[in-house]
Amino acid sequence: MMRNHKQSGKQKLERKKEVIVESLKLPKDSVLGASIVTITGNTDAFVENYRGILEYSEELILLQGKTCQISIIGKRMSIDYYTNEDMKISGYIECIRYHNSY
Amino acid sequence: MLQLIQYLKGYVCIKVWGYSPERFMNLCSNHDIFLWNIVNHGEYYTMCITVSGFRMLKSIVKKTGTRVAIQKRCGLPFFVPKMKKRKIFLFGLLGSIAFWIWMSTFIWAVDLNGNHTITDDVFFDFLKVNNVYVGMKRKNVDIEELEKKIRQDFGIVTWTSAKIEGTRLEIQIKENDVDMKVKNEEADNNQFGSDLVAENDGVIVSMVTRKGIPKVAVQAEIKAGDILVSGSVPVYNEDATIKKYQYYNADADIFIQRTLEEKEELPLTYDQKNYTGEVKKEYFLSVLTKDMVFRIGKVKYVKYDKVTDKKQVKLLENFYLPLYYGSSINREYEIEKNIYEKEEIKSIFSEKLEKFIGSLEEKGVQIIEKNVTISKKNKKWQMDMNFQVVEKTGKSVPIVPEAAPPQDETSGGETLNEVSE
Repeated sequence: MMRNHKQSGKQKLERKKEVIVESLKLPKDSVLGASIVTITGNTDAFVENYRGILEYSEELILLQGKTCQISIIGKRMSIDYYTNEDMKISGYIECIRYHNSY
Repeated sequence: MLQLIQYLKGYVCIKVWGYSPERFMNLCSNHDIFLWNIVNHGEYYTMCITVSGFRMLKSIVKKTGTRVAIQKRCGLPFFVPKMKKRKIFLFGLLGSIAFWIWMSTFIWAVDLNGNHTITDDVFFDFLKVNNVYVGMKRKNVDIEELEKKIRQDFGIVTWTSAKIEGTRLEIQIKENDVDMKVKNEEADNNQFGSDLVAENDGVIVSMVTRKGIPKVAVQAEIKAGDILVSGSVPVYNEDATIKKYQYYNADADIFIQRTLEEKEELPLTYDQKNYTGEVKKEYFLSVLTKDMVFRIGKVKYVKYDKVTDKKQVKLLENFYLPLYYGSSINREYEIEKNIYEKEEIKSIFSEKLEKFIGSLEEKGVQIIEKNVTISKKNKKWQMDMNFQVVEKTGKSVPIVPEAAPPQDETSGGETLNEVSE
């Protein structure tokens, strides 16, 4: 019960943050740490704002974002390049899923 | 671009396996080590990494418990030491580059465009005299001097353009109407002006004088060599005696009617080439003027035609090389003596006649009447053509005064008066 209450408090804080950011028209990616995923067709994905890779195989690439986890599911996927800022994934992308941690 | 920089800086392809390769990658990116071409092979991963990044891997490997092995070294920093071991190859490579650069400093082909009356042979002889030839150094070609020289030596060339494209010298010329140029030159060359002189015998049909004193009138019969319009114009004293002469270039349109007779002859028999169908092909390769012929056996024909197709080797668009190749076809033939049929003779002669009339019309000659007969004379076929034509006549001939130009009024007048008579 206590934990639930805490979580809702965190959620409330996030909500408030979002309202402020939106009203001030600040870029969400830099202030809230939201990840940017750009997809070209179903073969190329371009990801910015992430912390690291959690899992990497040909069928699944699981990325740790700053607020959530992103899993990219597909076939014959590979990472073209990987730096601290951005990465490029190419392959046959089937699905992108976000796992919220709260 | 990025690939070129990576190649110049050098990179290694590595194989990573062990406890947590993902953590290895994360740590790399946190340490600002650039990774690319990351591929999962199931049990291990392969990726490319910069040389400087690879040197920083030691701590990361220790931390993550992964193992790293180099699969391939790529890029210039690895290529150069490898090349140092292969000295002959390197020398060959550098030598061939130097050779091509050296070869590109010569002229290996000369192209001529726009010439109609000047034949290629005449022009290339002219070029040879002026030290422009295939195989000369490119920097020795003085384009402006060459253009000037062409305009000077060939009077009918009014415009020239020479340019060097790669190893080819391209010359373009434009020719003028021959008559105009010659006339002007002649007129310019003499200080006492010129007369118009009849070129043929005939009767004057029309005459319009622009400059000079007309010596003949319409309907007058003239002979070749007669002065039609005099360029020396007398200036009279008050007592109607001639004071002096002023000299001009006589100019007039004079048309005369005259008979024009032409004769064409053909023998009764002619030789006809009959190809036997025997053909021998040969190939050749030539460097400058030396030929190398490749052919099976010898050409044993008594009489044969040779048709050669020659091509020059070039690299890309304009890098011509002093190397030619091509093939020739030798066709055997036999000569057969044939007798002209009457119909054949008729068609041949009428073709010749048409050509002749065409050439007359080109010159601006008007044909009023024509009379053509074909006959067999002295074992020959003969065509007699008799035309009544109207044509322009008058040739500029420079005036040569017999005495020096008059110094005092009376004596000068007298001498020149005699000359004009």
